[in-house]
Amino acid sequence: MKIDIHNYEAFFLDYKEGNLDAAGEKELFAFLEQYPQLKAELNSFEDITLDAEVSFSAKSSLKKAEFSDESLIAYTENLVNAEEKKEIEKLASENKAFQKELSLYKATVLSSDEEIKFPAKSKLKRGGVVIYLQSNPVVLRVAAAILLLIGLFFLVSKMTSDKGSESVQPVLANGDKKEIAVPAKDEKEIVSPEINNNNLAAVNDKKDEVANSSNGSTYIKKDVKNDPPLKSNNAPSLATNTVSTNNPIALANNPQKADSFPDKVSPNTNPLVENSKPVYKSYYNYALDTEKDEDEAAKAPVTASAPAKKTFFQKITNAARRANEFGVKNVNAEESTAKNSVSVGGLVVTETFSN
Amino acid sequence: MTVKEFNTCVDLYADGLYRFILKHVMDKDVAKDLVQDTYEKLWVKVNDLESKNAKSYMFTTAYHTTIDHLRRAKKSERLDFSKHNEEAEKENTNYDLKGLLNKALDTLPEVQKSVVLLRDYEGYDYKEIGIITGLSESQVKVYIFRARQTLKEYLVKAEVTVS
Repeated sequence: MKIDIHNYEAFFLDYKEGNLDAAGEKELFAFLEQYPQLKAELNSFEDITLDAEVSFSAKSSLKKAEFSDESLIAYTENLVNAEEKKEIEKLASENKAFQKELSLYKATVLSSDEEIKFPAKSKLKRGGVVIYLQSNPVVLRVAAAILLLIGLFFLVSKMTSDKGSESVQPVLANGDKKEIAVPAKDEKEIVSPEINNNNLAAVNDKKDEVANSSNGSTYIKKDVKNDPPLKSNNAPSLATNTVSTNNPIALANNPQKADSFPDKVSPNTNPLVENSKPVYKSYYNYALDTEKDEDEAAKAPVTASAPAKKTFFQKITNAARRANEFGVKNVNAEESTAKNSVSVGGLVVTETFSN
Repeated sequence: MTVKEFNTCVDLYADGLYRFILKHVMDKDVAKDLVQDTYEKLWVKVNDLESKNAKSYMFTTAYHTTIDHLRRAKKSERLDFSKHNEEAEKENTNYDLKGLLNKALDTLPEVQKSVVLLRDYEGYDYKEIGIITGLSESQVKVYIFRARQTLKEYLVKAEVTVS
């Protein structure tokens, strides 16, 4: 191609870019001699250069994350090794989009709400002690027997004391307490516990206790028979208390129907007891007759004003014997005039009397 | 475990258990009852457990008790949704990051919520979470992964700005 006025720009460009060979350059300079006005154009062409430093400022935002969500979660969960961690942090510092992604994952880590507190911790706390029991069955059986024994002891003690208080302080319907003394010969006599309407709830509880036991009345009678003599000089003992009906407490449930009660109450039929006075027909009548009873009691020779107190060992023996009756085979008890003995498992404790 | 150790467990873990359960049931009274149930169960086992295992035992018990409760509630289905929503709204009215996260947490399935709470609140590792929830370690990881993705997506949608 030969240079002319129509294509000289191509020669100028080749010259500036260094693509023009020597012959071409010679030809270009000869052309400029012909057209000197174009020299200025060639010189100005030199100034037209692009700024190489100018770059696209938002390149990083176009880049795609080199780490997957899994990596970011692993980073959040502290599961990445030191090298991976460094790479992720480096990329995050260079790449804003990546940094935002990482920050969002970091933000998903929940912080505990410390202000939320359980309001009633003290109610959850416990007192007392924990007794460690070995798995040895013999030890467990003995431990169970001892616990039962202790429980029965307190139960029996309570029953005894309750019974004592019932016998000496029945409560009249009007709420007045009268102290009475019932002669021992009237052992089979029905002696009413409290019949005050205000005390019906307590009476009902008692009824349940008796009703739940198939031999409730026998149980109570036996208790009386086994009580030690209240006085050694054969004086009539006081405050004996025996219930001879199968469900005596039921009578107290409807004191307003007292007139219908007498049929349900077993009279004293003990032939051995002579001159026994007529049996009270009902609790209600009993309460009404209390005053008369007091007079008779006052005439009786009184040598003991309170029941004799059992010794601690006697109570234990009694409780143990009952535990045995209730089926606790590991516990046995024997009571005699010479000695009292209690055996729990292989352990036997005996109390002997010197007289 | 002695009584003293039991009572120490009350001091140490009752708040954490309460928070964990409350985040699931969204009802303070129910949460209190379930915490109490958990400690009742611990007391029954007090002779058999060592104190070092008590926390794990309690969270395991609390997790199962809570899930049972939620299943029963869903089955009878007359969950008091109004109360539920009211509680949720009350907690998140400020819409800060924490509030949004709590809201996002409620969108998670129960099992995902549990594993994330155990992880973030109590700092359990995957193995321990697996023992508590009865999941394998890899299942725990999968649930945590999915939970974090869901939480993140929630934050993205809410256009929350995090630094």
